[in-house]
Amino acid sequence: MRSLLIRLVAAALLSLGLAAITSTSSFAGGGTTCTQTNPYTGLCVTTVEVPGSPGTPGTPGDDGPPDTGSGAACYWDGTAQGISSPPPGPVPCQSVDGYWSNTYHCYISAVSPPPPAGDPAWQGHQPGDGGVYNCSQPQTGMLITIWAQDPPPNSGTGPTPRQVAQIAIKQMGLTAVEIGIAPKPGPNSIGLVGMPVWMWAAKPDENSVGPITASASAGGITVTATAKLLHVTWDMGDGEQVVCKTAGTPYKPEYGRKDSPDCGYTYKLSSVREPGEAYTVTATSSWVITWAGAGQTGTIRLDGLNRSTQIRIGEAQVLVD
Amino acid sequence: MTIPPRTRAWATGALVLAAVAGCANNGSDPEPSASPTAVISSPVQTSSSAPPSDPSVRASTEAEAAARKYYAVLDALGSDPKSSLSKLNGVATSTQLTAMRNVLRQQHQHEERQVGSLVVADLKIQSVNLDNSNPYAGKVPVVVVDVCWDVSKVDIVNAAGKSVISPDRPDHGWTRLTVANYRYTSNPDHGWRVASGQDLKQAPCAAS
Repeated sequence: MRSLLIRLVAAALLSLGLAAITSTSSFAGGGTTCTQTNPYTGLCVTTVEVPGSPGTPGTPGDDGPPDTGSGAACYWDGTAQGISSPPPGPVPCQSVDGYWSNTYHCYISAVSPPPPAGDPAWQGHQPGDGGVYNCSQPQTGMLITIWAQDPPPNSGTGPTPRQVAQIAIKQMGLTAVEIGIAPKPGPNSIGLVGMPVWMWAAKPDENSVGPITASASAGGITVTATAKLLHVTWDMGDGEQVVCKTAGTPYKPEYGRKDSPDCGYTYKLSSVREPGEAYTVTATSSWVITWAGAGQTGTIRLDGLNRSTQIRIGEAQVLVD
Repeated sequence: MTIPPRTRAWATGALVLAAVAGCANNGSDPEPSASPTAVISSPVQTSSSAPPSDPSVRASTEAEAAARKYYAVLDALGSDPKSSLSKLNGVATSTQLTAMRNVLRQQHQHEERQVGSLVVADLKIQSVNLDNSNPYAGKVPVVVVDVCWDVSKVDIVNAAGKSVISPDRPDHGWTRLTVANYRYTSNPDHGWRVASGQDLKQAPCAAS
């Protein structure tokens, strides 16, 4: 029943092409025209292409969603043809009908032997000028004949959705957070053992704390990726780490000796024995990037962005007479 | 019955040639071309008498036979879901072979069966072009044949015996077949296959 339905959809699409030989359906940037009807079924049997201008952030207590795989490089998406069933999704990159092309959404094989000169499949080109290819859509049962100057790209050798997502991530320009910390870094500021230290992302923007979305296209695949900051891991330089799931709260003098509500620390030892008599504090960002494209979704984890500063921590001396 | 020596030699040579051609090529691959010949005529009158010496007339005769055989094989393959589609190689090539193999493969997979046969109600040779200068590129001898078919007695039924044919299917129509011979050098008479087809937008012929 399903196959019949698919063929009926194809027939319906093709009947539009039959109603007027010049009418076309959208296909790979151009359109298609039915050139031959099967007398037995009344359905189109050969179609010629009309050339066109050829994640979820982690919840507290977990480490966020895992990094998923690369995704399939080859995918079916019939939405441009108005076909919603089967839905977009990965397909094998090879079949008996040839290799898969994401550009044409079909399996490609060279017509062998090539059609005789003057055949409509040549689309007005002379034999030897480019080539004629079969474009087979098992999803619809359609066989489309296309002419192309060069063989259509084999999507099986092209980028995976993850690789395209990584292009999008590069476009985002993600950066490590700019460190905001109290006590302030520098020789004229010093914190005290036992006193609260506040850490936060200074000058937060979409590049440093997200969320940020970008799209990229390659190899016939378009992927939209959204990056969200999962957490910032603060290495305090004394062997301890603090994981903050927020950008932190900037310290203001009126807060006095209060603890940070969401991202703070208290040193137990002075930094006098550290190089430069200061602790090196490093903030490392953990990003979760969710991508969607080519009928697939996935998650990429990015944990390497970091920035460091140094703060001095001293011990208060109390003189008792 | 005796056969004169010269006739025997010709007959033996023709048989050997046919056998070699039949074994060496399944109809899908073109053979190297001999010196190019080009004869263009339109339309061509054919006759069913002894093989004519005019190459274009011979080509027309063989192409017409190939077109009729093409539909006969489609009838046979369509009516038997278990039949081997390799029989298509003997009557079709290039885009037509792929297209019809695709159609029949699906039909067989869905256990659909043809009932009745297509009738060739009219057939007209439109042109002959014997340019065989580059079969590998598509410059092959072709005969363009217009076929008016009648499928009023043809139905396609599923495994339950229910028709899967749209009631809007035309019972009559014209298809322009390009019949090509990719093995013209070695097999000028029997290498003709239907290479492509095209709907003709013209009034259907009278029902047979």
